[in-house]
Amino acid sequence: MKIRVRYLRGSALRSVGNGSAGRGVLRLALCLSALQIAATTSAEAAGSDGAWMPASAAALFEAHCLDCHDEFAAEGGVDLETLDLHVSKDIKTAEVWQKVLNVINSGEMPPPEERRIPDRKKADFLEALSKNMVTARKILSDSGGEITIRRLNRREYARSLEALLHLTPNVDDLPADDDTGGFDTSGASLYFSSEQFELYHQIASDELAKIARIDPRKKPRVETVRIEAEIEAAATHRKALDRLTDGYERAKAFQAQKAKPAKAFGFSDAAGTKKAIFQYNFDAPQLIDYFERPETKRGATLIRRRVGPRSVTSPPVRDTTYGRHTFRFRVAAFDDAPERLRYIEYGVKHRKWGEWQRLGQRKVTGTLARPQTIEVDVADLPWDSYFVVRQRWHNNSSETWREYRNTHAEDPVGPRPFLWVDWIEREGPFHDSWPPRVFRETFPDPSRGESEEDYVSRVLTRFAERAFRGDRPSREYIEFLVDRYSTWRRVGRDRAEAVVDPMALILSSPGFLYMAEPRSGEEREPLSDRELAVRLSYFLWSAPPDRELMTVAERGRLSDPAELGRQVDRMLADERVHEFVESFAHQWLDMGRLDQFQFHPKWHPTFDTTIRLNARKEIYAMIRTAIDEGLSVETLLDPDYLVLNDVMADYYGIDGVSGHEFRRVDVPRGSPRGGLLGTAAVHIMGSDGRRSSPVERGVWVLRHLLHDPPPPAPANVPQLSRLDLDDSSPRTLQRLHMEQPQCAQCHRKIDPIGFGLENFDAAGLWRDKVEILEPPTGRGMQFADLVVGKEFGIQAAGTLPDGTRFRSYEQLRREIENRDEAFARGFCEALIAYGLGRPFGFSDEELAAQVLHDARREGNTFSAFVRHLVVSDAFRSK
Amino acid sequence: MFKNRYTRRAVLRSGTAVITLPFLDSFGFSRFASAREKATPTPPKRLVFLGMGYGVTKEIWYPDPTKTGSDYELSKALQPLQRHKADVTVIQNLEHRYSNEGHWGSTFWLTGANRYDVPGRSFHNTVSVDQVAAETFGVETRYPSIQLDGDMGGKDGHGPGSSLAWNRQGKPVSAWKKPVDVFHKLFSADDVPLAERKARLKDQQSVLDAVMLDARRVKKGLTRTDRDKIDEYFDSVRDIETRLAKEDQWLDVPKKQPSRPVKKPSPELDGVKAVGVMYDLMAAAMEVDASRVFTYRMPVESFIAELGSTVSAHSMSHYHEGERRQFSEKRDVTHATLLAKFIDRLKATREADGSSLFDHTVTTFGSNLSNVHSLKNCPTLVAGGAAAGFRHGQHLVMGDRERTPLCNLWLSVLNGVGIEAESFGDSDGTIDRLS
Repeated sequence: MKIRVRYLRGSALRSVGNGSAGRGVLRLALCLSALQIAATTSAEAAGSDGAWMPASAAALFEAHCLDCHDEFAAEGGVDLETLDLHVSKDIKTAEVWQKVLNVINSGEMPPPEERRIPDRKKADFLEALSKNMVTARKILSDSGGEITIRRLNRREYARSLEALLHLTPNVDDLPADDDTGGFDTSGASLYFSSEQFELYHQIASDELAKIARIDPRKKPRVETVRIEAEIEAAATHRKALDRLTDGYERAKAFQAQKAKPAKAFGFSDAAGTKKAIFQYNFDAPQLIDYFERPETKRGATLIRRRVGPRSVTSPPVRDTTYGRHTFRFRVAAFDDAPERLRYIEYGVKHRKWGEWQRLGQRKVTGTLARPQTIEVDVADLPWDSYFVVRQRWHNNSSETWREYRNTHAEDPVGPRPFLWVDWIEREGPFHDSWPPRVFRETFPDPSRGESEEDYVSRVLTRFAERAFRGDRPSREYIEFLVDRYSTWRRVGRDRAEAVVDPMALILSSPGFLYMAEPRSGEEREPLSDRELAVRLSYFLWSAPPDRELMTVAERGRLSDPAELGRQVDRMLADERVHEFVESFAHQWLDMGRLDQFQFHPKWHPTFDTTIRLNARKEIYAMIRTAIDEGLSVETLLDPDYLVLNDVMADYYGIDGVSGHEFRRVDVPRGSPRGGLLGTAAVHIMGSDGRRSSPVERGVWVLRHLLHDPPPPAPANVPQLSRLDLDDSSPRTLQRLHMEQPQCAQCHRKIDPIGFGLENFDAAGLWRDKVEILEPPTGRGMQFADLVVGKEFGIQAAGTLPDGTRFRSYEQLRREIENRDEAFARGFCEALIAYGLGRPFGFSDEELAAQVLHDARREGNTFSAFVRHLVVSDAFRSK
Repeated sequence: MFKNRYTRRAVLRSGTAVITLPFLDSFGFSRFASAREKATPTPPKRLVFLGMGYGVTKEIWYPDPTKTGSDYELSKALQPLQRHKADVTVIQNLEHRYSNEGHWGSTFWLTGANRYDVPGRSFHNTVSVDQVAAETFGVETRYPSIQLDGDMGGKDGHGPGSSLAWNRQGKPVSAWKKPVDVFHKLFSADDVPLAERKARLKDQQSVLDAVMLDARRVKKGLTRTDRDKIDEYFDSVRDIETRLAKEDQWLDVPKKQPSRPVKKPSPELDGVKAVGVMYDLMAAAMEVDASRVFTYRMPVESFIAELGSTVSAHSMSHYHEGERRQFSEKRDVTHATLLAKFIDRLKATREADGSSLFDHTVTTFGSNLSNVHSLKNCPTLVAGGAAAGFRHGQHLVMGDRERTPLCNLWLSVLNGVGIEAESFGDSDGTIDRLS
C-alpha cells in the first residue's frame, strides 16, 4: 500500500488570526524509486528531508487545540500555533511533538469540555505522529555514518580470549551488553564502568592462571575410567529402602502393643508412626520393584522418585591441564517409553560450585536387548567436574510430585522408568600436542644467554601484540609490566605465577578491549589492511583475525576487493561463523523473548527446556543451512524450507527424522511447518508462557518479516482493564482495540496478522480451536488435570496493512512470502547495523540500496549480502 | 608499649616506614578519632530511595484525590502504613517531562533525564539525585553511597541500569545484589592482615597506572567522538582510584556493629524476604553510619513469585481482572507492610541525642511508572526527616493540568537535607508544602 500524503513544508505553521487555515508550501513526498516500491511505509514517512507532519495535523490543531494552545494563550507553556511541522527539525521540536503524542494517547487532551476529535481522524493523526516520532528519533540520533570506537562486547571478549588462550572463558559475570536497544556491536552504546574493569581483570587472571599451572614437561597420561551405573544407584536406593523399612517396622511394632509410648520406638509421638507407615507405602514399592527387576543387576533404571528422575554421574575429571575428555555411556530405552521421553540429556557439573550445565541431548534408540553406546566430547573441564546423564524431564517440582502421586494412586509402584544406563566412562585428557598450543604461542624458548627480564619483556611484547591484534604496545608500558613481573619474583612468586599478572593487565588494557581505528585528522579515511581484517573478523566470527587473514592483511592484499571477497567466502564457510549466525539472528529476530517466560508443564505438557533450546537452534540451523547451501535470504520465508532434528520433528509430529543434528527435511503434506512462520520458536516468542499473544506476533511479523515496524508501544495509553481478558475470547481484545483511536492507530495493522496465527498455541503447536484450560476448583482438586473452561473457534481470516485479504494461516504465510523484497530490505538494514557497529541511519539509505541491488544480481544469497557490504566504502573506511 | 601520643610529624613519617601491626592499630585509631568525633554532635541526615519497577495498582494505591491535606484517608494498598500516617506524605501528579519508556520504571526515576538529549546516541542519562547527595554526605562515611539491587533477570520493569544510581557522567553505578553480600560488606570483619590489605591497595593502584599507560597510547589519533568514548575508560579508572583512596582511609577503622544485630542472611534469599532483610540491613547500616545515602532497586518477578503468582512481572503489570490483578494488589499491600516495618525499625533506633533515625532519614518510595505503562502521576510516598524540617501526614495533589516535575521533589529533598542546589534535572521549583 502506498500512503502518499502531501507534506506541508515551511519553517513554521502559523495561522493568521483565528480560524484561518494553516499555510505553507505543499510538496510531494518522496519520489518513487526502485527501493521504495518495496512497500516500506517507514521509509516513505522518512524522507531524506526529515520527518514532517501532514497539513491535516495543522487543521486538527486548528479545530481542537488552538483555543488554549495558540501563540498567545499557550496554556501549559504549549504553543501549537507556531509548532513546526518539521518534527525532526531539532530535539526541542521533537520533544513538543512527543508531548502532543503523549497527551492525546493518554486521552488527557483535548480535555473533556472541548470538542472531541473524531475517532478516525484521531487514529490517523496518531499513526502519522507516532511514525514520525520514530523517524525523527532516528534522524536526530543519526551519526552521519560515523562509527564510534567499539569496546569488545561480552561475546567478542570471550571469543578474543579464546583465540589467545585456546580455552573457553567463563564470562557470565560480565554485563551482556544487549539492553541498549540496538545490536550489541554498536560502539556508541557500549559503555564502560569501573565494575567492568575489575571483572575483566579478574576473568583474565583466572583464565591465565589455568595455563600458568600447566607444567610443559609433564604430559598428562590418558586414562579410561568406567563406573557401572548399578553400583551407586543400588547403594542409594538400598539406603532409602532400609530407612523406610526400619521406620515401618518400628511403627508396626508400636501399633501392635499398648504398653509402651511412641518414644520407646524412636518416634516423638503417635502421629509420627502413622507418617512412617504412610511414607513406606508411598515410597517403598517403587524401590522394592527396582531391586526385583533383572536389568538393575547389570545397570540402573532411571526411576522417577517424587522429586524427579534419577541421574547417573561419571567418574570425576582428574586433570589440571584443561584437556579434552570423551565421555561414553551405554544406554537403552524401555519398549513402552513414549517417544518424547526416550531422550537422555547430558551436561556437566562441578562438585563445589557447579550448577548443572546442560550440553545437549540424544535420542535413545537402543533397547534392553541391544543397548547402544553414546559418545560425547567435552573440552576445558576443571578438576573435580563431572559428566551427568539424566532422563529428559520438565523439572517442574510441583508437577513431578503431582504425576508421582497420581500414578501411585493407580499402582503402588508409581511411575515406571523409561531409560536404563549400563555404565558411564571418561577417557582423557587429550591434547592435540604437548606442550599445549597456548604454551608454544605464548612462551617461546629463551635465546641463549637471554636474561630472565629480557625474556619476559620479549614474551610480554609478543603477547601484547597478539592481544592488540597487531598493534604495537609502547615501550614504557612493557617496561612497567616487566617491572611488575620482577616485583612478584622478588617477593617469592615463581615464574609462571609472576607472569600471569602482567599478562592479565594486557587483557584489561584499552589496546585489547577497544577496537581503535586512529585517523590522521577528523576526515574520513580508508581503513588500513590490518584494521579491515579486524573489522571483518569481528563481523563474521566475533573474534580476532586468524593467521591467514592477518597474513593477507600484512601483505597489503586485503584491500583488493577480489581477495576481500575470497576471504569473506572462506570465513563464511568456516565453523566459527556460528558466532555470527547465532548472535546476529538472536538480535535481528528479537529472540531474547524465547527465554522470557516460564511454561508450566500442566498447561503445556510437551514443552520443556529441551524444546526451548532446540526451537532456538532450529532458527539458527535454518540460517546456517541457507549460508552453507548458498540459498537466498528469502528462503527463510519459504513454506517448503524446513530444517529439523529428531527433537523438533518429534515435537511437530513429523516422522522419519533421526539424529540430533539439524538437516533439511521435506515438509509432509498438510503440515503447517516450513519457513520462519512455521517454527515453534516464533510462536513461543509471541506468547506469555500460558496463552498466545496475537499482538506480539503481529508486531513481530510487521517488524521482522514485512519491514513495517509499528512504533514502540506508547506509554500512558489508558488500560483496557474493565474485562477479565484471561477469560474472554481473543477476538474481544481486537474489538476493544478498535474502540479507542489511540489503540486503533497501530492495532488495525497488528491484530489481523496476529489472529491469522492463532492456530499456533503458546508453545508453538498446532490447534484447531482455542481452549482456555483451568484448574478445577474444590477440595483436593489440586491433583486433578486441567479442565476446559472456555472454548473458542479460530477465525484466521484477516487483512494485511496494504489491504490484501487472507482466509487462513496458509494464505497469510504465502502472502508474506510474496513480500520477500521487504524482508530482504529489513535483513539488509539489520546486517549493516550489526556489521558497521552503529544503528542503521538515514545516511545509510544509499548503502542499503547498493547492497540490495548488487546482492539481487547474485540471487540474494547470504554470502552476496555480506560480501557486498564488506567491499562497500562504508565498511572499508573509518 | 606505645601510647597514643604521636605528633603530626611522626604520623607523616610513619607513612612509608615498615611498622608493626599493633602500632598500626593504635595509630589508625588516633588518626581517625577526629573524623568520628566530628560526626557525632548532631545526628547526620540520610536519604533512602526505594524503586519498585513496574508501578502500582492505580485503583487501590492512590488516595482519593479530592481529599487532600491532612484530612485524607490512606488508600486500600497503603492501609498497613496506618500507624505511620502522620509521618508519611503521599504526593500525586508528579512526573518526568522526558520519560517515554513505558517499561522503564527506574532508569530515569532519580535523574529525570532525556534519553535522546545527545544527538547521535540512542541513550543518554544524567546524574541521579542520590549521587548528588553522596558527593556531600559521602565524605565522612565508609561508603559514599550504598546501592542495592534485587533485579535478577531484567524482567522487573526497571529498565537499563545497574541500580537506581547514575554517576556524574550518566553511567550506571553498580550495586550489591545479594543480602548476604551486603551483610558481609557492612558487618563482617576482614580477616586479611592489615599490612596485606595495605599492600593490596598499593598493588591495585599500580594496576591502574599500568593500564593508563596503554590508554594514553590508544587515545592518540582518535576522533573527538572516539576520545569521548574512551574517556569512559579513563573515568572508570579514576572512579576506582577514588574508591581506593577511600578504602585506604578506612582500612584500619574496624566495622561497627548495630545495637540490634542483623542475622546473616541465607545466600538464596530473594523476593519478599529479601526486601525485608535489605530494609533491616539499611537501618543497621545507618545506625553504624556506614553510609548516609541508600538506593534500592527492588525485585518484582521474584517478589510476586513468592506471593504465589505464576505470571511474569510484565504480564502482572497489565493487571486485567483475574489472577494478574490479584497479585498486582497483593504486591502493593505487601510493599506497604514491609515499608511500615522499616519505618518501625527506624523509629525504634535512637541517635546519640535521643532522637530517632527516622527523624533524620528521608525515605522516598515509588517508581517512574504509575501503573501499566503510564508514566503520569508517578506513585510517590515520602517518609521521615522531621528533624530536617519535613512535614508529613499530608496528601498532596499537585496541579492536574500542568504537571509538576518529579525533579521538584528531588530538589526539595536535596535542599531539605541541607544540600544547596538551585535546580535538579528539569525542576522548576520545590514542593513548598513538604517543609
